[in-house]
Amino acid sequence: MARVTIDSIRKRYGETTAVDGVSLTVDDGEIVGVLGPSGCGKTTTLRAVAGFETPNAGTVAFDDRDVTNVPPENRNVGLVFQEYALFDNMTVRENVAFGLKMRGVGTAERRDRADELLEMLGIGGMAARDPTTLSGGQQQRVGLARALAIEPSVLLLDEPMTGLDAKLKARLRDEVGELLSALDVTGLYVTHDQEEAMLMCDRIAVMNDGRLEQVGTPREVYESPATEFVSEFVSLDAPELPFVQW
Amino acid sequence: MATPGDHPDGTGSRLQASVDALGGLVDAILDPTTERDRERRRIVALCAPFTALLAIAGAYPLAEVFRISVSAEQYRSVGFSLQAYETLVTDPYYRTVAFNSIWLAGGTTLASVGLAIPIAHALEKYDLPGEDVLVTLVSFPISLPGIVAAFMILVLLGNNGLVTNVVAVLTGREPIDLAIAVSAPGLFVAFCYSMIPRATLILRGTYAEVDHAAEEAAQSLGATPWQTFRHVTLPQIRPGITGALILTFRTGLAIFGTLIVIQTVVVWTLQISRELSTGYDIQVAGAMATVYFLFTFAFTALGLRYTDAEVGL
Repeated sequence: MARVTIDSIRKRYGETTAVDGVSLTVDDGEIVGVLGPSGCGKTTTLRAVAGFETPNAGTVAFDDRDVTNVPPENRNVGLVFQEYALFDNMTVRENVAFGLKMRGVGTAERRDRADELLEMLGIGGMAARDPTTLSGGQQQRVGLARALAIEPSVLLLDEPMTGLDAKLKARLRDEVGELLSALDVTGLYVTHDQEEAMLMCDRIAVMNDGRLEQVGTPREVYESPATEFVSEFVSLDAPELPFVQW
Repeated sequence: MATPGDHPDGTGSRLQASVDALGGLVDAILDPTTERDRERRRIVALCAPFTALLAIAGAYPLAEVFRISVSAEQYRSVGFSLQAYETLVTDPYYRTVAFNSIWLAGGTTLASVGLAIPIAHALEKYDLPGEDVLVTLVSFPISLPGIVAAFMILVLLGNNGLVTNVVAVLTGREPIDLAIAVSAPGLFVAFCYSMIPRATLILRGTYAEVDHAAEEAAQSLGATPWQTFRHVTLPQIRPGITGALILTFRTGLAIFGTLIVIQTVVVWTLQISRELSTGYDIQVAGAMATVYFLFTFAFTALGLRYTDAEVGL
């Protein structure tokens, strides 16, 4: 895993500024939640870290390596999507082993690693299945296993729980949270769900209108909001005293 | 006791049941009761004009062409003779014409679809400057008659063609030695010019449904753009490629206007024209037309049956 340093990145699309001078550091083994309403620039920030967007200004670095202009395939980043984005033409095992295959890892080793991860995520019996036959929760586990298989420098999760029903979301949140902690993963977790961010992340970066409003621990953000926006956004639908779990 | 009309296996009763069901369907359409009946009536009304056109302009002429092909006399449809079909099978000339048609249509299909894939990829995957103009330029040849396409090839690749003369200046050779318009390669290029837009049209529709998130997932997992295309994009667009191959091949077989200008390779459609204009062998022309129809129909039906291609009959 690596430390991720986002330094003053700015991204414009024509006249629209999607990200405006965002700076954020994610320490090695830390999960930082990027929280904000739709259109606030959080996904653009994540895509800049993944390499799918090149910022107009600013830099992205993994440890001391500037990756701002490094193509996505050379960044060693694990991506988990809201819409799963699994490869429908491959089995569950082939999905998980795909990144290892691209790295030239042998068939037997790929298979062992994929099976180990699937077992870890509680879907060991589904390795030979067509991913389209799985439930939403199971598909998201496959997506997570696929991203973790390459032992990424940083794991990027883009609204991974959106679209799942509340009960499943709660269960997956606990399981995934424990797994990420156990694996000591460096992660950027994009969500618009305050509860999700507070329960799963070590720190939270609240974004609004392309800018960072506040970065702090969930307790700091919840108890001492830096701006009126953070106060309103975090208090709305915020979980009942989630700190008991921290 | 069983009568000659009875069928011990129940075929008669099944036939009766089918006739009754059809009668019920007609009654339901004429005098609908349920919403399903009214829906059926709407479907019949929507399809009726085309059904009439198909019967008058499709089925009847085709039946008449077949009747002509098996006529025992040249100028009247009388008797029954398979002489024209026998000629097509036994005369090496017609086998050569068939072979020419297959290789020309097949070769240009592979080239056209092969070129259409990167065009569709670029148009659908990326935000290109002036994309509307590019789409118009790419799709423009669809609206051009084949004869105009052939003329354009002459203007480009003929003795006085632009490309011919540019190459002549660059290489120091005579334009007449470089001109390929009135040759098999020239015809090949002219066919591709007409077929690439059709293939692109189908492939663009397929590309529009590609899961771009899956492509990004592959890239983030270390796949190069080529590996991403091969492992993730290609499996998704395969039905579109198959559909484009079927449609483009049919187009290649049907091209005629281009061949009027560039008659360097005698193919099936050109030969039908020659049968009618030279010697007026209408039986052979009718047999060729019938074989052409049966071949393209069977090719398309089998293509759709054994693939998951996205193209209609």
